[in-house]
Order: sequence, then C-alpha cells, then structure tokens
Amino acid sequence: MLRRVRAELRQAVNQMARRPVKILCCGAVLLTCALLLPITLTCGRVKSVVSPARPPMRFFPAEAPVLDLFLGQLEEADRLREEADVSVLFFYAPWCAHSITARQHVQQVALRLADQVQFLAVNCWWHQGRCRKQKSFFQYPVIHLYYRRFGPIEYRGPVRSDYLESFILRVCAPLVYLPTAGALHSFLTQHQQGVVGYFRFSWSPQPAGYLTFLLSALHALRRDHQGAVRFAVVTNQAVAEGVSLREDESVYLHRRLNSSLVFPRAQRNFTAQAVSDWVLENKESVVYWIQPTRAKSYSLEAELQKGPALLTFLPHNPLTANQLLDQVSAVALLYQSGCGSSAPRLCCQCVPVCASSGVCEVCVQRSVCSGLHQSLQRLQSSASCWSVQSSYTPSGRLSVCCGASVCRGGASVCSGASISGLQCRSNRTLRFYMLDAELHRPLAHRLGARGGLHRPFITIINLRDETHHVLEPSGTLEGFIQNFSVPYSPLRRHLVGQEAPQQTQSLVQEVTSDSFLQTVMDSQRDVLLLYYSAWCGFCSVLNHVFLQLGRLFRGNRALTVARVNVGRNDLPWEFMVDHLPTVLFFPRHRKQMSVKFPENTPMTVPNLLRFVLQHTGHAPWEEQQSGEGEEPVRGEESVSLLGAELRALQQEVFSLHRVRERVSQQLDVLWRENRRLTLHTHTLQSQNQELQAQIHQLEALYREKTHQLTHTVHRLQELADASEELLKENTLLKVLLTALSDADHRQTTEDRQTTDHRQATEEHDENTHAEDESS
Amino acid sequence: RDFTEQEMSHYRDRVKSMFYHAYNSYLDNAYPYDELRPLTCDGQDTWGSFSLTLIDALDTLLILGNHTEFQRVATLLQDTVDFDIDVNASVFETNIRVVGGLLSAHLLSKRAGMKVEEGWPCSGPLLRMAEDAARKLLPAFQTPTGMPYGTVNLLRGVNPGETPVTCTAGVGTFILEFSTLSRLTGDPVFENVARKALRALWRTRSDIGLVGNHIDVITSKWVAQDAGIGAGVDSYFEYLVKGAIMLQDEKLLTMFYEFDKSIKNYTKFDDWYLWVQMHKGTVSMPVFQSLEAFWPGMQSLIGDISSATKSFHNYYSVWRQFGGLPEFYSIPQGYTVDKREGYPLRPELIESAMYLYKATGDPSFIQLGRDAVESIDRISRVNCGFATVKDVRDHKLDNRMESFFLAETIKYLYLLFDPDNFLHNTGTEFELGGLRGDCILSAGGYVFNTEAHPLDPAALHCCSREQQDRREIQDILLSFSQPQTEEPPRDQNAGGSPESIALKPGEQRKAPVLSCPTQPFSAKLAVMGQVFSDNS
Repeated sequence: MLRRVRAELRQAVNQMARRPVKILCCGAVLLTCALLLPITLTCGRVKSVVSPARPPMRFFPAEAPVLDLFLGQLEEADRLREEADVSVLFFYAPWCAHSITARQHVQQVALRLADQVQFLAVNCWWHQGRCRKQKSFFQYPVIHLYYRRFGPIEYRGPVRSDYLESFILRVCAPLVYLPTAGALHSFLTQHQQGVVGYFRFSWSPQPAGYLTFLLSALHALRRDHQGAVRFAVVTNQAVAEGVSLREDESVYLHRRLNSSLVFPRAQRNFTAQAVSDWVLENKESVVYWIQPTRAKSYSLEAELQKGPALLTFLPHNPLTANQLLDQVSAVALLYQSGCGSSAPRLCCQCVPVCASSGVCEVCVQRSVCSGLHQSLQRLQSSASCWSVQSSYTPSGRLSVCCGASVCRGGASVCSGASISGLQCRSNRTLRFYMLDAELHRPLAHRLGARGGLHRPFITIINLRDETHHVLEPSGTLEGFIQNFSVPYSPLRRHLVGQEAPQQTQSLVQEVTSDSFLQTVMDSQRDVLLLYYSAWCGFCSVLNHVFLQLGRLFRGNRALTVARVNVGRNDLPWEFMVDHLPTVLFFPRHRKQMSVKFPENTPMTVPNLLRFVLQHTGHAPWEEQQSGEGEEPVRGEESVSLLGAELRALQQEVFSLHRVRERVSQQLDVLWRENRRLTLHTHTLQSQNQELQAQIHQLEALYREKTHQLTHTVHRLQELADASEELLKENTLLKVLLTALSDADHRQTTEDRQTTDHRQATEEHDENTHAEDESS
Repeated sequence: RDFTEQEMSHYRDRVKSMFYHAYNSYLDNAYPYDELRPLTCDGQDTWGSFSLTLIDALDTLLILGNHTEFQRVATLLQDTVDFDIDVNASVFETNIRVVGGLLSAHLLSKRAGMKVEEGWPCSGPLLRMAEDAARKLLPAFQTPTGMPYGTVNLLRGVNPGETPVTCTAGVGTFILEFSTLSRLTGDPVFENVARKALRALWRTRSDIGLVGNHIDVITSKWVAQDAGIGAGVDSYFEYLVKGAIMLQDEKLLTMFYEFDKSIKNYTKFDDWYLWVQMHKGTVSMPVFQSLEAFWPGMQSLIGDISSATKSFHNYYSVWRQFGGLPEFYSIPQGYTVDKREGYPLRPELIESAMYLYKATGDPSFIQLGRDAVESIDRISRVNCGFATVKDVRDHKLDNRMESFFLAETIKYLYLLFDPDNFLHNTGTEFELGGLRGDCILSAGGYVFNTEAHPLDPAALHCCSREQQDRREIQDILLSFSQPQTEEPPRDQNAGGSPESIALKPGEQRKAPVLSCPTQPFSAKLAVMGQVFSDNS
C-alpha cells in the first residue's frame, strides 16, 4: 500500500511537470464525465462496461454528386435506382481502407458523369441497416451498375477513376450504331473483338431481337470487365451484307486468325444469355490483358504454364486510344497469322563471307530457315550465282548470290517477313499479354524495369526453363521475338540486381548482380563470399560474425570479405547456390578452384578464419614449385593478421594500463587516508590527556565539598542541642535533623574507609579540623 | 499498386499518433496499474501489478525515436517496480512481457542514449531487474518433469493446490528470454530449465507427431487434445524456430521440422490450418483462430515464403470482411463463431505482414498495414485510448486495452511502414561494446520474442563466447606462425577442399539444418496476390 501511495505521489509530480497535458487532462476529464453518463446507462451489468458501435456518419462530402445512404437504406437505393437510366451503387464500409481510397475515385467519376449517371453510396456495414441484413459481402467496396432494370452488373476491374469511368460509359452505351460501310470497317479493324448484330427497325418500332442483343451485350460486361468485346448494331441491309449478314436478327462474330462466325440460330435459342455465352466461347484474343487480382490468385501461373509469354507493360488510359497498344497488337497479329498460307516464302539474310571480299545474299524457303547458318559453311568461293541442292535440307533449295555488290533486299524486309506466321514455324510459341504499367509496377520492377515506366517495358518469361529476357532499349520488338524463337537463342538471361551501394569503406563489401564478376573474379584478390538474404533468420544472426571477420582482415589488400543478397540479385547459373547461408572462397589466380565452407561446421569467426588461412596460402609442395615469389605474399597476410592481433593486444595492454592507473590512484587515496587517520589518532591522544587532567581536578573538588558538608552538619548539631525545646514543636526540623544525621553517618563511613586505605590523607583531615576551629 | 515514400511517411506519422494517444492516456489515467481501461478512463491490474503496460511499451518508445521518454521511464521503472509482492502471476505472461521487455530495453539502452555500465551488455540495472523477475518464476519449474506450473506467487513460490494443468505455450515459451538471460549474466540455470521443459514437452507428442493444447505438468498427460497452430500452442512452435536461429541450435529446428511435417499432413487444408485430434488426426474444429496469423511470418524466417504468402492472403480476406480478426472464424461457413467474435487488437497478422514485406517487397503487405491503421483508428479509438472490439460483427467495444497493443500491434505497424528502421538493419552498421569494448553489437539480426521485444544475438555471443573465440583465434595465429612442416596434417583435418563438394555416386545432397532454401524462379513473379504452386 505504501508503495502504491508513493507511486501515485510520483505520478502527481510527473503530471505537475507537464502543464499542457494537465490542461488537456482536465478537458478529458470533463468529456469523460459527459460520456460516462450515457455509457453507464447502456451497461447491462455493473462490472462490465461495453460501448455500442459508433453511429454512422456521412462518408462522402456533402458537395459530391453522390447520394450517401450512410444508414444502409437499401430500399431507398432500390427506389432511386429505378428512376434513372444508369445507376452506380457503391457499397462501402466506413472503416475499410479500400473504400476510403475508392471514395475519391468515385467522386471524380461522379463529377464528370453526374448528368447521365446516378451515383448512390450505401453503408453496407451498419448492422442496423437493411443492406447489412440482406447482403453478405466478403470484402468492401462492392460496385454494382444498373442499366434501367437490368442488373446488377458487378464491376470487378481496378477501382480507379479512369477504369471505372470507361466501364460506366460502356454500360451507358452498350451498343455502337454503325450507319455506313465505312463505320463498319473502322469498327472491325479498331477493336480487337467485334460483334455485329443486324436488325431491321422499319418493321416495328423496336424489334424484339434488338432488345435481346442489347441485353447480351450487358451480360457480356458481367464477365468481361476489361470490355474487350465490343457490340455494334447495323440497321441497313446494304451495310449488313458487308459482313455476310442477310437475314434479320442475325449476329456476326468477327475473327481474324480463324473464320468469322454467325450465330447458329438453328442450334441455339436466341436469348441474351445464349448469345453472350456464344460470343465469349468463340472470341479470339491476339493479346490478353492481365488484371491485378483482388485476392489470392493463381491466374498468372495458369497463363505462364501455357508456354513462354511476352509481357508488355505500358502506360494505359482506358479512356483514350493507345498507339503503343495498337503497335504491339499488330506485331502479335502478324506473329500468329499466315500459318495457313500455302505459298512458300523466302527468308533472306545478308552475311559476310571470309572466302571472298564481298557479301552473299542467301535465300532459303521457310521450312529450312533455321538451318541457314549451317548451310553457309558449305559455300564455295565463287563470283557467280547458282542454285544448289543442300544435303541437309532435302525439301528445300538454297539460292546463293555472291559478289561485291550490295544486297538486293533490305533488313526490314527480311525482319518483317521473318515473324509473319512465325508461331507455326517455331516450336517455342509465344503468347502475348498486356499489363497496365501503373497497376503492375511492382512486377515490372522485379523483372528488371528501372525508374518510371513511361516507355513500354517488354519481357519474355519462360516459366518452365526458369528464364526471362528483357528487350533492350535499342532493340526492336520483332527482332526480340525472332531471337527468342530461333534454336540456340542468342538472348541472354536477364539478371535483375540491386543498385550498387555507395562505395564506403565498409568491413564487408556488398556485391550486386552488376558488380559480381568484377569483384569475385578479381584475379588479384582472394574473395570470401557469403551468400545471404535479408529474410533468412540463419543469415541475419551471422552479421556480427562477418563484421568481426572483416575487422580482422581490415587493411589486407589481398583479401576481400564480400557478401551477396541472392534474394535481390540474380547470378549466373554457375554461381547460384541452393541454400543460405553459404560461404565460398575464390582464391586469386585460381578462381575456378573455389572452395565451399563445410556444411557441418558452425560459422564462427575462428572456423572462418581457419578456413581462409588454409586456402589462402599454397601447399608446401606447390610452394617449392612456384619458388620464393609466393613467400612475401603469404607473409603479407600473416603480417596483416598479426597486425590485427597486435592492435587487439595493444588495446588490452592499454586497458590494463588504465586499470593499473586506477589501482594506483586508489592506493594513493588509501595512503592519504591512512596518514589522516594517524594524525587523527594523535589528536585523540592529546585530548585524552586533557580529559585525564580534568578528572583529577574534579576529584579534588569533590573531596573539598565533602569536608565542607561535614562541617555544616556539626554546626547544625550545636544549634539543635541549644534548642531542644523548640524541636518538640517543629516536626519539619525533626525530619531535617534526621536526614542530616543520616548523611553524617554515611560520610563517616566513607571517611573510615578512606582512612583505612590511604594514610596520607590523615594530614588533610587534621588540617580541616584546624580550619573549623579557626572559623 | 506501389506505395510512395510520402505515403509511407504519412502512415508512420499516423501510427506514431496512435501510439501517443494510447500511451499518454495510460500515463494520465491508469499508471501505475497494469492496464488502461479506455472506456472508463481508469486502470486495472491484470498480470502482476508491475505497471505492465509501461514495461511492455518501453522499447516501442525507442523504435518511434523518443529517447528522452525511454530514458525517463527506464529510470522510473528501476525506482518503482518491485517483484517482491504477494501476487499470483502468470509464468508465461510475466516471462514474455516483463522479462522480455526488460531484456530488450537493456539491450537497446545504449542506443537510447542512456549511460550504460562499463560491462554493458553483460551487466546493467535493467538486466538485473530482468534477472530478478525471472528468479521469481524459477520455483514454477520445480516439477518432476521440468515443465512449469502456469501460475506462481512472486513472494511465496507455487501455492499449494495450484493446478498443474497449463497450456502448451506455457511450457515451451521460455527459451528466448531465459537463454538470453543466462548468456548475458553467466548463470546457466535459466537456459537449463527452459531446455528441460522443451525436452519434456517433446517427449509427449503423439504417434502422428502432434501436441495437444493443455497438459498436466506433473504427469505429462494431455488434458486438451486438440492440435493446431493457434491459441495455447502457437508460441511453442515460434520459439523452436527463433530459438534455433538465435542460438544456432540444430536440435530445436529439427524438433520444429518434425512438427511442421505433421502439421502440414494433418491440419493444412487449402492454405488454412485446422484443428485436429492429436492422436487420430481427424478434424475437430474447422476454425481459423486469429492467433494463428503469426505463422506466415515465422515461415518466412526459414524460407517457406510461398506457403506463407498463401496463408497470409487467406487471413487477409478475413480482415477485409470484418475490419479485424475475430478470435474464431469458421472456415466452412465464412463467418464468426458464437461467443468468439471479439478482436482484442491482436498484432499477429500485422507481424506476418512485416516479415513478408521484408522478404518480398510486395506492396500487398503494406496494403494490409494501411487496412489495419484505418480500421483500428476508426473502430477502436476512444477518448482515453483504444478499446478492444467486443464483437467484429457490429464493432461494439470493450473496456480494455491490453499491453500488447503498445508492445506489438503499434510496433509492428510502425516497422512495416519504416523499412529503414534500425531494427531492420542488415549489418550495414554496428556499434562496439562488451567488457573490452571490442564486441560487435547491434548489427541487425534481431530476434523478436512473442511479445515483439527484440533481442540482439550478437550480445549473447559477446557475453558468453567472445572469450573462447578470442583464445581460438590466438591459437590459430600462433600455430600459423609455427614452422610450415606442421601444417599438412592440419590441412587434412579441414573439411574444406574442392573434392568435398562433389557428391559420391548415389548420394543425395542434404541441406544443412540451420539454413534456408533459395527461392524458386516463380518467387520473382509472386507479387500483388499472384501465387504459384509449390512444384512450379
């Protein structure tokens, strides 16, 4: 209890020391008193204090053109939705960070589309609201769109203003009207996937089939939140014949790699769902979009397992046309088209020939293009053109024209022709994917993109071979694809690494992908290399071990203690390891004879030191062969190590010196203390003598007073004898005389004892009697 | 989408503001009690009457950069905290919160600008306090099996009639604090009792390699036979892994891998971990407990990052659904379990996010941090601190703020948003200390105990093995300077030679126990929710 009282007093002192907090505390107390009343009233039990959930408040600002139903009034939202052509319902939870982020995006879109779209926001978390009772959302926010009475269309794309606006505009106008043949042509060429419906409006105000087609477009948007499929309507018969539509209420699916299709009404019912399913089943995609996922997803793995993939990261705004997108799509289309062509195509390449001073243009048929280089070995030195039968390509003919003149064909022709239909001529087929660079920045950076992604970043990933390649800024996309597709691809595996750290004089040198070969394979230095990663617990507890080792070898220019974070730096195949931490030693002049630190040995400073020393120096037999040149080098390292040890010993000696000085100081203090104590002793002795003298004086004074008292007693006795009669009447005097008599007896007894023991004092008594008589 | 430095800085300030709102409320209304009651603005004693929130929050102050308050509180605690009190304290909670908090504060006190003793980190006032507290717990370990009682009276020892039944974590969660204490002070009794308890617990596992939830420490009989990775057993597995890392102990990690194999075989389903019967392996509760969320972070320390990421995303989806993790979440039903709807602001999912973000750099884990800040700040903030959520279905609040909110939840949130914090040091900076002042310390590699108190493994080495290493180095140098004729025999003894790398025919390479596998190629592509199968 006392401890608590003391602690509370201390707390009060602390509070006094913090005046601003005290003021705040007073305010807090007042607020608390105010809050306690409602809290107390709501408590069902005395001991347990429970606060109900905070009542909901507006989520959107009042000026935003979004109607905020923050009490979860779902019926109100349903009623309002039926009054508008297009409505967006934004279901949110006020505590949800994703809802908070989406809020500003929804506001931006609402500001731009308020005149044609109704925006409603519903708090679907408030547990007393209808929305919470009726719906079971597993995450927030949820965005539903309604087109008149059709809906909901759940939006599953990125919750960003540009993507959201693009999608809403598609819902507002699910069909594009194509009045002319030119418009039809533009529609089919500009969009990757187009669907055209033909309906004759002259026969009725609004054909039933048209409504079905309209609904099928909306159905498709439920599953195609990227909006890759575009739906258009044609009402003119002449325009419809441009896509082979002659019958009313027919639907045409345009395809470029395969034959285009017409909806088979004979086999399927003409319903919105059936049309939508048919379109999504048969649509072809030259380029696929990869969208960010909202939860755990295996979708990227599923795509990459289909084969090598070319990923293009590019800036993308779905509201505007994208030229880069069109270019990449054109290349992808060229790559995948032309497979069915029966006409043989020539693949020409210009190569220098050592045998002659000119160049040769070598042309082969498509099927033997891959053997082009091997065939050149059989060329003979000649200045004329001829055709030869190649024994390696029985089905093809080789045409060689050698001379001093320039080649007839340009590189562009050769390159352009080379990827046309390449998909069928190569057994390393590529699939093409698009990714929004802004949304997928982390993935792009991991694959080697640097800095901002203002230009396309293109990479090929081969999951099975565990390799990926990056298109260099100076390269072309066609060349990149061509180089990947040929056997013995000249493309090199891309190594992504960290940026080089600042070259401070650190004890352990940090190695990256870029600096690995330069540092580790330095023929002038032994290198002790630690493979580690920041996430591995067994690596990070070794930090102090390697720092200590670096200190031991500090100043040794023949040895580098280095480490490489393999979690962030790709290495060439031959330098990769399978477990962390791993330590390798690369001896200078013999880098290929690298040695691995034994796995069953603890990584301690002594063990690592022993490992380094064992593999730094040469064996005695090698030393004899190499002569005396190696001796100084070995001595240099020993000098360095001994120097480090000498410094440590010097520090130890210095510490001992300090300890000795401290002990010496303490001894000095003790000596001075001893001397002071001696002086103090002398003082005490002299004081003792003075006290002894005073004792003697006091004894003398005591004896004198004793004698005076005896004399007084005698005189009083005389008075008593003279006044015996008066004594009878005065009791007090009697008592006094009795006391005096007793005192006299006691004094007499003492005098007798004194006389018995000291005869020298008898003379003093006689002198006293003499004085009494004289007085 | 990635996070800019401006956003990270904004959320660091948000987390710091949350901390001081709670911390100042505790000082103003609840100190010197153990815990703040944020709805009634007063305090209560819970775990032992030693201003527990103050001890638990001490190293968080330093991590947030408040050196002066750290110094003030560290000095204050030395004057006010007394462990000679007639209080029945939880052995487990006192160890992880009080002993762990004091050890961490001791190891960080030099960085905080405090004047440390000459022998720091092998001596110091906070270390002596930690030792004093731990000695009060030692009577609990005097059982026939070596497994400790769950409760001990700090003045009189174990009360007669004290129940011998305690949870598994209450037996196996001492090796980090007690071994640190032994190696810093030189008294081996602490590490010995912790190891004895671990060995006893290891011997009780079932034939299929699982342990139950509650055990009788006298008879070694399992009283509750549900096996899982959640409440009651979670930190046992955590301490096997982290103890192996901090002490470079193969035995501890071997134990864990045996358990991990059984856990994967019997409890893992679609990246969830269920509760099963410990002898039969049949599912007893298809439930996710919020305490299980520590598991992905622990997996990342030993390189099982792919599995960790998949489980994390499962747990994250629960947060997306409720704005917190209920104590129990029914996996088949996708909803809360009756009477288990509370979220006491536990840190575990944020802890895993911190580990996994450090391992992968994936902004999905920062996104969880953002979710946590927005949710906790909007749901739990009250005038006098942050109240626990009584029911995640409607966000009713309860009148309690546990000390782990300041010790763990806030700390892990801040570290998640602060990749350059000194606790994330990868060995690029260090300081010197020790008896001779030449030990390398604070070089990173901090091991967090289950209450987020960081322990420096270099300090353990400094106070226990530095002398031995020094003598070994001197012996090596002396032998090195001897005539060369003596060296060839020593060369043969060394295992490091080019031939040792080559494998004999038919021999399969076995990974060293204390190691992590390098990540597969697909790890580079696993970002923003994309995951890959284990065989790809």
